[in-house]
Amino acid sequence: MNIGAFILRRLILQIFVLLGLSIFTFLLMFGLPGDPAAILYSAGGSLGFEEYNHFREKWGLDLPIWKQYTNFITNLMRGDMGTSLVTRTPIFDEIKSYFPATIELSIVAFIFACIMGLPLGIISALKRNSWVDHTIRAVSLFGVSMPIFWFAIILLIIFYFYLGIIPSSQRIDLDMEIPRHITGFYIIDTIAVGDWTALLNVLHHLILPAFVLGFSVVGLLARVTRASILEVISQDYVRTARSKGLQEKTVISRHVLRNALIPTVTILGLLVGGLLSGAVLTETIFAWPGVGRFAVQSIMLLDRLAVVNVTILVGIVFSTANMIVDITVAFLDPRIRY
Amino acid sequence: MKNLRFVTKLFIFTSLLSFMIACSTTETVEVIKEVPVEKVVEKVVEKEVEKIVEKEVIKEVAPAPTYAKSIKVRDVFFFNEGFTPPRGGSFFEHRVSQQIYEGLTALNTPMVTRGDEATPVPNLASAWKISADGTTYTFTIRDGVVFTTGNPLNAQAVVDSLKRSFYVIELDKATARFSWITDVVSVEATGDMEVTMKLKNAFAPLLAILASKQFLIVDAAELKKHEKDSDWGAAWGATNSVGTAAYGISGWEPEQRLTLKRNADYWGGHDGVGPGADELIFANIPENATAELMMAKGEVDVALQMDPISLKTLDLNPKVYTFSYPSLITCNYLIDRRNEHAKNDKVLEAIKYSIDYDGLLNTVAMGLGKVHQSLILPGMLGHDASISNRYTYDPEKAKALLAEAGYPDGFSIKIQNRAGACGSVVYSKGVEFLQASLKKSGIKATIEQSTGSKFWGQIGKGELRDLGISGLGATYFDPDNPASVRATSECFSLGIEAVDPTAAARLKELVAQGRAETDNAKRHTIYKELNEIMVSKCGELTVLQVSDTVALRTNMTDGIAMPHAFSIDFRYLRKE
Repeated sequence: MNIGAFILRRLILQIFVLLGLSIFTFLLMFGLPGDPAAILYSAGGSLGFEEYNHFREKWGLDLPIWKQYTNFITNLMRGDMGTSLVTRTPIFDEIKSYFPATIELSIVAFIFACIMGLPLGIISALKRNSWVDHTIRAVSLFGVSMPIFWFAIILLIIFYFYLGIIPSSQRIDLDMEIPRHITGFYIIDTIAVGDWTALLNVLHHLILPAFVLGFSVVGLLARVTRASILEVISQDYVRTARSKGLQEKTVISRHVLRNALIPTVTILGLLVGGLLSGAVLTETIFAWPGVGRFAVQSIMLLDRLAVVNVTILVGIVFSTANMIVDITVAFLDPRIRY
Repeated sequence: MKNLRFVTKLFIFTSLLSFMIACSTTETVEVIKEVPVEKVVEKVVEKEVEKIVEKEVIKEVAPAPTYAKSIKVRDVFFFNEGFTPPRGGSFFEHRVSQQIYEGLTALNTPMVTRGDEATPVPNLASAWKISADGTTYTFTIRDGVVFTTGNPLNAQAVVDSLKRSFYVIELDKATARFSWITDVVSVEATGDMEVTMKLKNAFAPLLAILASKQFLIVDAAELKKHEKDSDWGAAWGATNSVGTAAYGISGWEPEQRLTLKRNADYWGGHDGVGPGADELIFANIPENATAELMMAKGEVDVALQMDPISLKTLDLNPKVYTFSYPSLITCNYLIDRRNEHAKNDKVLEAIKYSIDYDGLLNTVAMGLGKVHQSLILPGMLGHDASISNRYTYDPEKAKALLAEAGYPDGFSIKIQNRAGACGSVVYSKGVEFLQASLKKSGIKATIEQSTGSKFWGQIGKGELRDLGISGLGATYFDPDNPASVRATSECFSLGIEAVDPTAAARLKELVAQGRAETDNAKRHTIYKELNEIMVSKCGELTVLQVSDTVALRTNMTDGIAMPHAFSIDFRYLRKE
């Protein structure tokens, strides 16, 4: 099978995965106790029966669940994600406005996780059973087991409250103008208009949330890399390379790392899911206006369509990331062909 | 080689540290002061040489107002319908609307906070006349007021604004909540600066209603320019402001920041208080722990919507103070009077003596509120403290009443629980507390999980037979609001007519009389009687009036509560 056919097959399968995901999320949202109309109206401190009924009728909340689902899917096929019950804005517009913030945060966290996780895993494996290895393993365990919520607050207390070297929240200082929307990615937008002060501020605001989010997956990445290198390093071809008189550096970079990275790259695809789910908490703590925060608010207010759409979007990102990983693995390992 | 690596690492580390420190440096200049001097060229006669010379002298004039560069406010955004009246159902939207729009009338907020009877005062209407039969209101529009759009406020602008409010309310099918607008015969400009509103029937609450969010004055002509799908600019107005108030919207970034800019042409306000800052920056900080740190550090000056635990922590900080004010929200237990036990007045009374009000306030509500047991809130006409605090927790008395009613061993009843909260009272906690309270009087309550649609559906159809919990609010600061909604609608759905038709009929009469009566003293008497019937006969057991609490840095002064806006009045805030 060539790569084009592989991608096509994966895309077709993805449709079924997303359909299943949408049905599951839809059922789950309807299983939650509560009524969005009652929640929204009680939030305003008033409730009129007629208005309440009109609201349910207008938004189709009085329809049976299967009808609501088929309406949703039919509209989705036409490219209409529906309208948010809460903000009365098309959900597509909402997601378009929040998604860049999440992607920007996740990319920086991903880069951070790779920069930290891969070298730590390699060093840990090469210094096996030394104090360096033990320390790195302890840090990895700490990263994996640390609740993001708690860790973020502790770091805020240290670096924001006591040391004052990191901003507390949001994407840019409250004193600064919000960059003009070009792409929604503040790094790109500030570079595009040449506003270097804003760019520095944006980067400064990214440090802590990206660190917290990235750190949650550093441990996993380091441990998988370590285990993988240890497995490869004892292989015959590595011994052969050494016996040929190759320098240790060459042996590691050409023969060990290339082979050891295959399981690590596979894990990277799964980490995308970890980062996106971690973003929900990170965005709440750091007041980061991303999709995760939007999802939390939608869940709290039972904005069902918004939740289902966000879930589908995250599903698309996750499955696409894994597809890219599969393709990358094929490039890394010539034995793998699709 | 190793040294070189070490030096390189050290260099990278120090560069990174310097970058973080450099980025964390913030500008400290906060207050822009204008020097109160004026250069005047005076003509002075110099007698000796008998000629006129011009001299430049410096005279002191009244000090120009100073404005803080910005006041930063922590809030939790709940963007629902937008900021422009009549839309905007969330507390956040109410709060913002009242800072960017003004009504023909205003409520004297300090009076409301103190609990004095609040009466509407002139605002964009500098005066008004009411015809003897109470059906015609003639408003004199204040001269010299301009909208932030630059358009002047005049009679036609007011007429267009009110007509737009009626139009959008009908568009949203929300007339049931504002039934009085169907009684409006005409709203006309009867002069350049005079508006006359004619009603089918006398309607005393009108002046209070005109201070409420839905009828604040907007530049309807400007909104018309942004019309889409015949909405009279409602969609555009959701995130833009076209008012006359002290502040106007200058920036809106969803889920992140709302910036209000000082209206340089502000007319001064009904109480002579203008804005205190060039900008009000509302930051959406959903997490309480983060907001608490920002407040303690001084990154934000005011924190709204803090949870009770964070407020208690902030209270310990010497650079922060908090203050609470009563909101328009009450927590209520509801029971259908057609319930086989509750149809007996003594049982109803026994339930009231079974509730540990202080315990509920201090544990479930975490002290954020006060015990309040009646329909009419403090500050509204007809409020009577002796009615609002009639019942105390007395299980023995409750048992005695139950015995008199024929239930010496108590009885069993169900309580419906559902998701939600009124203020700091989470419904599930309130329900569990009620269950424990009732047990001490011999009433065995079992909790059943319900949903909002089931609960309100049962009330709407008059089919609720169990106990339930609810948070109820008012949309305008007049007793007619709770009376018309709760005394004639909800109380009837809770079966008052089945157990006491005389009291039920009297309630309807009193609501109608209260609306028609323009004499405040007489209205006071009417609502006092209505309140009395509600407390003794209605299946609505009001237990707490919820408080709103604000945290402020100690360099902030003059926080004045604005309960009808679920907020403080930001015009009063001054930053030292």
